[in-house]
Amino acid sequence: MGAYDINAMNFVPDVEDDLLDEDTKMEEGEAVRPRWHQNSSPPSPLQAVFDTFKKTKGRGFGDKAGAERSNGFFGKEFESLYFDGGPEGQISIEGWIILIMGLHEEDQEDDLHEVFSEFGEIKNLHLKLDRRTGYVKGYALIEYEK
Amino acid sequence: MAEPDLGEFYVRYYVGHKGKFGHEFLEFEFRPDGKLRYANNSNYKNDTMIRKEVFLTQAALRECRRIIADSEIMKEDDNNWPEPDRVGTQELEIVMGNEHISFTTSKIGSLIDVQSSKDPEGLRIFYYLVQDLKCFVFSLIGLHFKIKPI
Repeated sequence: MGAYDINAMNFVPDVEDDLLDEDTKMEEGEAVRPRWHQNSSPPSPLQAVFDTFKKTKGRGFGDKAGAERSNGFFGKEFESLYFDGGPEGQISIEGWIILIMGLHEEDQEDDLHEVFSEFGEIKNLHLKLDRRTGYVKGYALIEYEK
Repeated sequence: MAEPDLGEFYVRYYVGHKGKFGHEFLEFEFRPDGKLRYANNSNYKNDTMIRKEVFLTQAALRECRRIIADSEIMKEDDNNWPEPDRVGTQELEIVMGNEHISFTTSKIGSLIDVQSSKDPEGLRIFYYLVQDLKCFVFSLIGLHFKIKPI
């Protein structure tokens, strides 16, 4: 059983949406980035990631598939969770969630439940499996009652 | 607990098609600042778009990063994968360290599609990675936004 990490999350009003404008035009010779990463000012953390030099690979750079893609996905309201600023965890709609990492591939849901019940009443436990091998992927999410 | 510097990290996955019910798609992205965004759109029975976002800790990003690194998807190339078609499109874009991939392919119905492709090894990695990532995202979003059934 590995150490667990607390999966704190946070709500911040979205200020980056303008860089995702759908109607930004792809310029000739600038096929390095999909067009919706462009047109940001000032540079956001996301933009900075795309601006630094990278070895690029794949057909997705400047292809038509990208240009035909989702309209209206970005730049609109997302449902976000209220965050009270504490470092202890993110309150979900109905409880608290922690993320456990570093699990062994043969760990059992029952054992996890037993160990983590010590800290509170578990409302939900997600132990996900590797889709290829069928063994435990290595993480679990647990929701506690308040 | 001090977080090690993870370097640059960005992930976006899109799967969708345009058909009888308009542009139906599912998309999510992990941003460098930790924001996880998820959108799911279908016009079937006038369904409206679902859009949710949460902020992840470095720990959650690290786990996402581990899943991707373990898959070794960055070594693959989409050159010989099926092209997006009328049935649909998948896009996977990842920035990790100084590598930036942006792969596109058609929808993959099952492993039979993978086996019969020109690059079964690479496409299989993509096929399973996408499922593992989706699984992680659905868990995170599902748990955080879950409402008790009445």
